[in-house]
Amino acid sequence: MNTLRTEVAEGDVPNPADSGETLASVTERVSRLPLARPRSRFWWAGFLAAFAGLLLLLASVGWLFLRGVGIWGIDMPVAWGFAIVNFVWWIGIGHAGTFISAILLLLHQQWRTSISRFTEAMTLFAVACAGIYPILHLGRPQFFYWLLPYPDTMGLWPQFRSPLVWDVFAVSTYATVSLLFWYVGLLPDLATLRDRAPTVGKQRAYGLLSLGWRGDGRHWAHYERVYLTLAGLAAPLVVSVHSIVGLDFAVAILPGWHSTIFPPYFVAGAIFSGFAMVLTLVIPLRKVYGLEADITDRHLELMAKVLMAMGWVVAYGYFAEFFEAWRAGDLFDRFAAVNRTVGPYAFCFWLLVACNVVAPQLLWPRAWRRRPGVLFAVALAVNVGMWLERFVIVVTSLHRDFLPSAWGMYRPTFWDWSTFLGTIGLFVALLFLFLRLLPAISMAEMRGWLANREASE
Amino acid sequence: MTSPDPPAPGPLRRPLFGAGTTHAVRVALLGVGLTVGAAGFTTYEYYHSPYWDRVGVAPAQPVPFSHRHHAGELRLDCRFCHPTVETAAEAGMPSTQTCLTCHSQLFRGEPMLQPVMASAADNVPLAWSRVNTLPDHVHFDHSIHVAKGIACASCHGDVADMPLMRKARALTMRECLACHRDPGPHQVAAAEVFRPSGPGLLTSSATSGEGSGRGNEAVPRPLTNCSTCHH
Amino acid sequence: MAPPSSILGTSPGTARLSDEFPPGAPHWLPDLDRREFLRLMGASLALAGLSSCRRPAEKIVARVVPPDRAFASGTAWYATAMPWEGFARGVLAKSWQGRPIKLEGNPDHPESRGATDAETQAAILSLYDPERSTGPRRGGQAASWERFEQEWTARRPEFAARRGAGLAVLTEPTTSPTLRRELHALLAAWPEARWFQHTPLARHDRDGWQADFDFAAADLVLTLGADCFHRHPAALRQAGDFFSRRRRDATRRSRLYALEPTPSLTGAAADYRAPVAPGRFPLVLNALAAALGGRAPSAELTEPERALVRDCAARLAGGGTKGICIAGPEIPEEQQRWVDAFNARYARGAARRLAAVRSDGDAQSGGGLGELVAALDRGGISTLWILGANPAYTAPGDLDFSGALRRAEFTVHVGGHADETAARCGWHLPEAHFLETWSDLRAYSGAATILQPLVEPLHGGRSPVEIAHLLRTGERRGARELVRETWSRGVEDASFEARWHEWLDRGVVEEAPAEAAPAAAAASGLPLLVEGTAAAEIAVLFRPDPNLADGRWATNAWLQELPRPFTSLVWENAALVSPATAAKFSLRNGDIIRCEAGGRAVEAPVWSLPGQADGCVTLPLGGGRTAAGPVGSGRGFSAYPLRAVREPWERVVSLRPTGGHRDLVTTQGHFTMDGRDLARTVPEENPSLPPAERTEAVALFPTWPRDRYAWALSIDLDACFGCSACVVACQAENNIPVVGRDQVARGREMHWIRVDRYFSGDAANPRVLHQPVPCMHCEQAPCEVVCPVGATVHSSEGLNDMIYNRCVGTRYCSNNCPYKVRRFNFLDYRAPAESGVYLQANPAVTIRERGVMEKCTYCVQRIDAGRIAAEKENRRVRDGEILTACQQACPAGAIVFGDLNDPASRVARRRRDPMSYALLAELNTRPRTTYLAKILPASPLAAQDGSRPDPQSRADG
Repeated sequence: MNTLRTEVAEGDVPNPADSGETLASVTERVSRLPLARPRSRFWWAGFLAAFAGLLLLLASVGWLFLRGVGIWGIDMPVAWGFAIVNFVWWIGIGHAGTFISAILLLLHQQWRTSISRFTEAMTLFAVACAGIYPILHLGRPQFFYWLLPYPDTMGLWPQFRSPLVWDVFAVSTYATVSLLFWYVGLLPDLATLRDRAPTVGKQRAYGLLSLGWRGDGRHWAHYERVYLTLAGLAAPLVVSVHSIVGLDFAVAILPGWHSTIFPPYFVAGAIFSGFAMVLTLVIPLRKVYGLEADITDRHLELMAKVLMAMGWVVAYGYFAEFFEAWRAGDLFDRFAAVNRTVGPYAFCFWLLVACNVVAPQLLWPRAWRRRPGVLFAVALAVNVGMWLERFVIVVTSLHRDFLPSAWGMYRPTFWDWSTFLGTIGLFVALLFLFLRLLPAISMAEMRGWLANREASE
Repeated sequence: MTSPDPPAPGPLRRPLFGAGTTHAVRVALLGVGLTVGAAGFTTYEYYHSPYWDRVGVAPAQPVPFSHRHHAGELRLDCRFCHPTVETAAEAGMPSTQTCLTCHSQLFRGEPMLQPVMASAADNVPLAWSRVNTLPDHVHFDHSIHVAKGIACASCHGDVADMPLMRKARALTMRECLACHRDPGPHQVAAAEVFRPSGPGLLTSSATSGEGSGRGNEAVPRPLTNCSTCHH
Repeated sequence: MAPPSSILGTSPGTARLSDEFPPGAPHWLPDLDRREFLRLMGASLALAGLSSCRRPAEKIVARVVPPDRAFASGTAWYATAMPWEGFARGVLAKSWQGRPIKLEGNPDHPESRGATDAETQAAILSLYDPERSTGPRRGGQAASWERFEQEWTARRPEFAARRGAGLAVLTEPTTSPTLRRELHALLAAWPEARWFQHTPLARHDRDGWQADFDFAAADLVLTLGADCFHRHPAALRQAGDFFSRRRRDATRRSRLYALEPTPSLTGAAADYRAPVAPGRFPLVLNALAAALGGRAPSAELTEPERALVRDCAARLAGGGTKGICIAGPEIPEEQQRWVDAFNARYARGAARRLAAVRSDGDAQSGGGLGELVAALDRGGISTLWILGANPAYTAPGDLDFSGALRRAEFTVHVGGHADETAARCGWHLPEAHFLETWSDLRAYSGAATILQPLVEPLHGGRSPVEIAHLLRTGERRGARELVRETWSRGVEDASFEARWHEWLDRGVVEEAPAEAAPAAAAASGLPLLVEGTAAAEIAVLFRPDPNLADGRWATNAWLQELPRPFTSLVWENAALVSPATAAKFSLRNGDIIRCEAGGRAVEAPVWSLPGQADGCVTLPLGGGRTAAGPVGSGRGFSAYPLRAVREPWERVVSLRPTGGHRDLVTTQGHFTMDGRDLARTVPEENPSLPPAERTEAVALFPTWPRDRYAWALSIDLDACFGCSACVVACQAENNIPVVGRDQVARGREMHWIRVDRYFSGDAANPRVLHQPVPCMHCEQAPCEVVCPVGATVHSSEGLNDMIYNRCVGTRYCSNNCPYKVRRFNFLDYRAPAESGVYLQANPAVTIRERGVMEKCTYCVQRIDAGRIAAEKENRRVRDGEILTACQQACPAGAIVFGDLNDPASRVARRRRDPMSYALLAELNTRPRTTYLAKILPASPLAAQDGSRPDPQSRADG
């Protein structure tokens, strides 16, 4: 049967079977979403709201291309603003999916099964949002392709010492692998939908997408080989992408950026925000579509634990920055550190501490970890906190650097906000489409998992 | 495994897809790949093609001036009509008076010369169509190239063979760089510089100009400094 | 630099240029050469940089007649002069294909000596100002010169009959011999006609003579509210001379003491400066006199005053010291006499008296604006000609000029712009820009210059000389004829032509030096001044705006956007108060105050300025223009309404905050160094920096091998006095756009070189440090490694090249630049393609489009030109052959550019100086731009003489 079969540590592992799931019930419950389309009013309301956001994004981008990046609040010295903050934020969110699907898979964390599909989708959409920004923030976006190595008539190449060039490769690779990983995982379920689709049209559509999957042994053999290989490929990418995004800052000599802690601390922060976003989305979702049986409280609890663990890593990162500034004794580093805590943008810093360091501590008691309401609130806080973290890193470091004569402030404009909200709209809109058209939980893996359980009894 | 309970009542009357579907899909996928590849290749070729660079194009001129006749057959020196080529960035265009040095006597009545006569009579300058052009952000200085023994023909080709002036080279940055990276082979004796049909230079090395990864070499190469042409 | 080429008749190429400007429509026609054509097309072409669209077909327009040889290369230089408050500033004007594009100082001119100030640099923009008057107007309606000439010829006979009775002419005080000749001839022909003169700015003469000082000879300079390096007709010469005494090789460093109520650039350069309210001047001067006489000061002095008096007295006591004292124009007569006595006693030849050069005191002149208004009110004047002045705006508040003007039935205004006065006159006639016409002017020293045109008048304007002649004779004669007539007198025709061309060539007229007025009798002692009681009330001081003077530059966008000294305010003026005064009224920067006196009031936002004397509010003139076009109108406030004829410089007012507030725009938000050693100082006793700080650490990346040249720049903070001439010179040279108030408020100003200002020490009397900051051209440039497309790379000669057309605008380079000298085109800052300002653009510098980074290039276009010139002659570039625009403009010689590979070059010698340091050297960016630390005076007690230890060890500056 299923070589995803793994040695399951008894007891602590959540299992849908405990909540009375059977092979049939899982398939029925999950495939209802795309095929029977329950809760249609909720879906439309949510989708239209998100779509409005998407339109706002289009308007903002249109105006941006018409007038130039000057419509944003960026200036000298703060030449990077929301665009980069949002880019890093979205990329971070985009880490949970692949982390859960690939790394937890390799670590034999079976409980990932119920949430992997959904988080992979989330990852893709987040990366899509992130990918927009580096191009939008260019002064001359029409020349973005100069960052790619191609044989031009000028006889020039990109400047490979620049972290921005590394970014191009890192992000595009990550996006590609995540997409493949997600699609390959979808194949068996697409076949299931094909077989259960009520109309010929849908049967055809899912049929084409499932690439003629018939579920025989050879298919499964190939499938699992590919799936494992991609997992192996994706795992290091999870680490590499945000390390390189971290290097965008660490490579610079700017006080507050020039720090060796950045790569690991960015990766931790990414997973931190990723899990926060997963919780933010999964908690309402399972309620609305009644998936408590598959995404159990126990799942939430485990994710809460990851959240806390990562929260501590991030907190250590903050501490390390200040410690380094103090220990190295560099005048400018020390000033940057102090300026963060008492400068004009101090409120952002303290708010981020409250969100990223204090809020997760609510999750110490087991009962609270299992309480969706609390968990949801904490997850929301962490989302905000991680956005603020990037804002603090980008803006407060830039606005007061070496020469006091060149100090300045950064005041976001309407277009800064509209672009940000716009990408949120894009993200949510894509998620709603996903819920409407594809299985939000991997039926195949769930069935395989239940089958293991039966087999092991 | 497929789904445990088939939804459709009874067996499907006919299969969802025809027999050839698999092949069709494969061909389609292959086709997509090929199209993308072809598009890329075409774009590359287009922008590297003489067509894009208008090489060999001879725009219409107010007076069908023949370099073949004046520079080739009559062996007029380039500097006779392009007076500032040794002293200034621009080579300079002949004033109407320059034309009249000869044509006040020769072929005065020729219809083709009437624009020149009109220009002289009404003091209205002749507007020639530009043949060789560089982008606005490129600052090219004729005088130093001439002084360093770069023959006119290196860039302008064999004008002695041009009844109408036409663009001889693409004049892309790649071409400029090719010579700036290794000017030696392209320099000629001072006497040769103004020979209308000079040695057809550059052609070989032109396309082999390779980009410098870091935009600057470890060895100092003043000629390849960006600010040599861009400021 | 090419030498000035003489020209015959009007400059060649003007015909073509005038083609480009059909009168009244200042827009280009496509008969331009390739670069200019494309540049003007720029907006549509480069916009969105559609790399895939084919370039449009271009035309090359050949000349009909081959050009003058001097002009063949496209570039030619002409020696002429710019009027500065009527005085000549000798300049060399650069013409490119018949288009004036840049002004530089004329090295042969005794006053400018190759240097310029910000106004001179900006003057070129005014030539292409779209707001310039484009033709005669009658009652606001467009009219023609012919029509005016008809009207005037119709009126002349009546004056001829009445010997000019009822005719009045108002001019600004002028130094133009030809204009004065015309006016005198007019008054000779029509004795009843009246000639009035008006300027809201300072007079520089007193009963027939003007003081002239030799700053090179003076060992000690004492200024009483005089800004003799910035706002003075001889400022360039005086600054040059004074700072030559501060060069590294100057054996005896001269001393500068400043007593002033409001900070001036001269005061900022002083060894000792004391903020002194005008009321305290007698007290302090008496104390100084007492100290010189070995007596104890009678009254209580503040700490800065005491230190200044003690040190000044100590140095003057030391025998041979040549001490000069310069009083500002607003100093009352009594104190002026004290100054005369001081100079008579201590100047020892460093001060002399020249016959007044400007016409202020002209015997034929019937007085100033007050007299004119009185005459108008008496109804004696039916016809008034106003040549150049703008009294409707600059008249003091207690003088109802506009009202009086209505009494004259026929009024003519002649000016470059249709300004406030033009709107109130029946006729307005466009005056030609000084680069468009023939004229002549004298410098403060008396040296005369023939002004020659580079272009025909763009808008059909005429020179005041021509108009004065028209006024007198009713006939039209060319200015060139009139000027030649003036100068051909007493010269036999044979030699005249030759001399004439030589005068044009050198830019100075060869003539007998102006005879010196009789020197004052050496007074026995310094007169005792009557000490007023310490004034409790608030006094406002009226001062010319550092950038806009009396408002005449309000239409010049470069000067509007040029950060003002000390405050860095742009696009508007503010009332300056001392921090203590601000605290007393609990005023924050930008709070609106209301100053009231004599029933008139002015409301202005305040700026708390350290170093301002307590109890006085400085109101800069020149703001609040109403008819100065989009650039100049409504910028700041006008202080003129509060001014009084009797009290032009100072007035006691009642001050109260209105509670209103206005956010002022400044380019520098933080004026202290926060404990960072940026603008460095060294004590006079030991003028060197610790050697440890001057060694370079190891670098991660390989160091650049040095090619044939290694360009570098050195800035002497001891010489820089913050005049900002470099900033505008750079703007003119490098096509730097103006972005406007809102963009500057967002922190998006574009100046490639900025003058940082830091206050150190006591806020009541701080030391002000000016630090010009261009690109540092680091050898280990942080910007280069982070650019993803290699748009900023290192040149083999050590330049940090910025290639606009490769830039995609990630702005990462700016983030990684510790000096924040990079500038970004956040929006499309290019002027609209049809606006005439493009005709000023330097063809050697690409105009940057939206979304690209730009920065100081060390004027790489000049370097390339210099290298090419040298290469053609198979030689190396000589030291001093290539000047950067900022270096060329600097009056104090603070900036030196050159080749480090040549150990004898001035810049190389400067870098060996023990006072040389690199900004933020600890970052190991290894800047090619370095600084020489500012020297602080020895403590007053230790002060014996100014000679510095072992001058040999010091390198030349």
